[in-house]
Order: sequence, then C-alpha cells, then structure tokens
Amino acid sequence: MAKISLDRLSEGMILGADVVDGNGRLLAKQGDPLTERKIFNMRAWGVLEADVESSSMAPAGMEVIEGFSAPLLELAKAHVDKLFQLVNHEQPMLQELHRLCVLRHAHLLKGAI
Amino acid sequence: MRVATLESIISRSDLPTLPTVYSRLEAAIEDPRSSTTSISAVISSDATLTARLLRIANSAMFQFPSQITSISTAVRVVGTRQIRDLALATIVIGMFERFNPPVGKMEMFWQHSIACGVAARVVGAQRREVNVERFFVAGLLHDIGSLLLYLHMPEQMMVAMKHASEGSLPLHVIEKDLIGFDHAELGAALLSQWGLPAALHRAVRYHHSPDQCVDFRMDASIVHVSDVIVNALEIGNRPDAFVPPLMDEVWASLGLPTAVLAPSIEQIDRQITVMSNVMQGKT
Repeated sequence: MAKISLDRLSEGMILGADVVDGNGRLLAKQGDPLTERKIFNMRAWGVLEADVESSSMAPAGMEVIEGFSAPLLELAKAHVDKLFQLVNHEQPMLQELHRLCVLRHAHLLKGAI
Repeated sequence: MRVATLESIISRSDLPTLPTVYSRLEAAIEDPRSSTTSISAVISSDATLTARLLRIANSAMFQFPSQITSISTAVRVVGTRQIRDLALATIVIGMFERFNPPVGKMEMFWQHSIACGVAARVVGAQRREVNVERFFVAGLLHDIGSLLLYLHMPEQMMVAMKHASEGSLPLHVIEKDLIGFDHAELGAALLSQWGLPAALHRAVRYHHSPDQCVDFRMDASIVHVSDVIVNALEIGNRPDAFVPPLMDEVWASLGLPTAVLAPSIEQIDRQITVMSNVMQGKT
C-alpha cells in the first residue's frame, strides 16, 4: 500500500483505505477501483492524497508516461513481462528493450480501445 | 514418431536447390575480369529477380536522389557484393513462395525472417559496417532450417512448439532434445550444401550461441541480437515465441550503447514495410 498524491492517481487503481475529506465525509471506500468521477470528487473536497494498493500501481517512474494511464501501462507491462520471461532482467540492454516494448504495446492497446 | 537424422534430411533428393542464376552471379562477381556489364547481364536473364532488385534499389531503404532504371546502374550505386546478397535474399524467398508445410504459418515465418534481416541490417549500420546487406541475408535466413523441420518432421515440431509455448525452455533447446539437432544446425547444413559463404552459414548455425562461433562471430552476434529485438517487437511471432535469452558478452562485443535501441527500432519499423512488399512481390 502506498500514499499517492492526487495528481498521480489514475483510473483503475484500487484504494487501500477509505478516502475521507477534512470533515470526515466518506468519498470512496477501501477496495474501490478509482474512477475519473471519484478523483474529481476528491479534488473538489480538497483531498490531497490517497492510499492505493501497490499491486494496482505501475512500477516507480512509470506512472504516466507519454500520455498513457497507469492501468494501461500496467496491462502493457504484464504482456511484455510474459514475452520476456526467458531472459535475464538484470541486463541493461534488455531493460531498455523491455521499456520500449511496454510503450509500444501501450500504443497498440490505446489504439484498440 | 519417426526421427530422421540431419544427414538424411540434407541428402534428400527433393531438397530445394539454389537456381543457377545465383551461382552464375557469384562467378561473375568473383571473376577479376568481370564488369558491371557482365554482372548485369546475369541478373537481367531473370526477369523476376531484375524487377525485384530494381524495386529495392528505388525503395526508401536507399534513398538515392534519382530513379534507378537499369540493373547496371543499380549494381554501380548499390555495390556488387550488396547486389549479390540482395539477389540471394530475393531468390531464396522466391524458392519457398509456394511452400506449404503441414505445420508452421508461412506468412508469419517470412514476416519474422524479413524483420530479423532488416534488424540485422540496421544493427550492422549502427556499427558502421561496410556491407550491411550481408547481415540482411543472414538475418533473413537464420530460421530457414525450421522450414525443413516443418516439412519433414511435422509431428515432432508440433510437440516441440507446444512445449515451447509453455515458456520454460527456448524452442531450439527442445528441438535438440526431441530431434537430436535444432533448426540452426539444419539451416546451416542447407546453406553449406548450397555452397553459400561460411560467414552466412556460421551466422545461421550460431544465432542462438554466438559464443561458440569461432570465425565470423560478428555475423552470428548481429543475428543473435536482431532475433532478440524482433521477438521483443512481436513481428511475425509464433504463438509459442518468447524473447530468446540474450548473451551479455555478445551484446557487449558489438560495442553499441543501449541508447541505439530506440532509433534502431524506428528504422526497423520503417524498413520492414518496404522490404516485405518488395521481397514478397507485393505492390
């Protein structure tokens, strides 16, 4: 679980704790997937951050890249991880290739949606 | 399941043979007295080859400022060795055009092969190699042994590909275990049988293991890396395909920074469309 600032929240992330505003009003419940609507409400009620399940987040540094949302990148990453399952992930060449392939696959997914 | 030996496949009487136009072209190029005219005459005797080579010379791959309308101009501006290698690529694809083995999808096979050729050409160019077309042919033909396996050992290959799709072992390791040899060994034996240069069959033989390659290791290394890149880009991948393991020392031996990957992939994407269309005779 990780506290994430509002501007890094994106649709599809799973809340790790209830989100309440300054007056204790419940805005979203633990376990809820985030929607644009919920993020909008949090912003409107002055919420600055929320707890998010780590498993629903993209790895560090990949939150929003080239206009792709974290869930989309997560899907792309899962696909590319499977493709790369026979290789050694420590190799810098393969790390770079993996990064480029995630972006490539995200483009593809975005086009398909 | 009947298991054949590599020798029994390679000595089959129905094994495809390289058309004589290639050996005549090779002879014309190696002959010290040969000229652009004599080389062009050999190529011109084959209308399909002539048309395809002219299309390649005029494609975005070369970006020559004016249109090349004759084979003799193409030989001069592209280079004799380069033209020979592109001719070989064109001829081999032509030979297998109507090939329809019981297993394996031919369209995917050539997509993957052409992509690997293009990637090898791009990696070669990144290394400032003089004749990048030789890497193109090596990449194009790296899996040619698979075609013979699809044709002559379909049952074993079905089993091997199903096993490979589980993603625990690369296909060539499974082939070796199940059949006794793999597509790389068979492909190299075929190219050697055809009398093609050692650089080419070594690159094919060792594309999964360049560390074991004694001579022409650079050729094998470029194909090895290209195969990794193309599988990662999922161009013509078989359903059982995974990115094959990359040998650290092989990548290091090429002396390329990882930053070349992004621009290389852009070039590969651009060149693939051109090459697939020309090589497979599409308009």
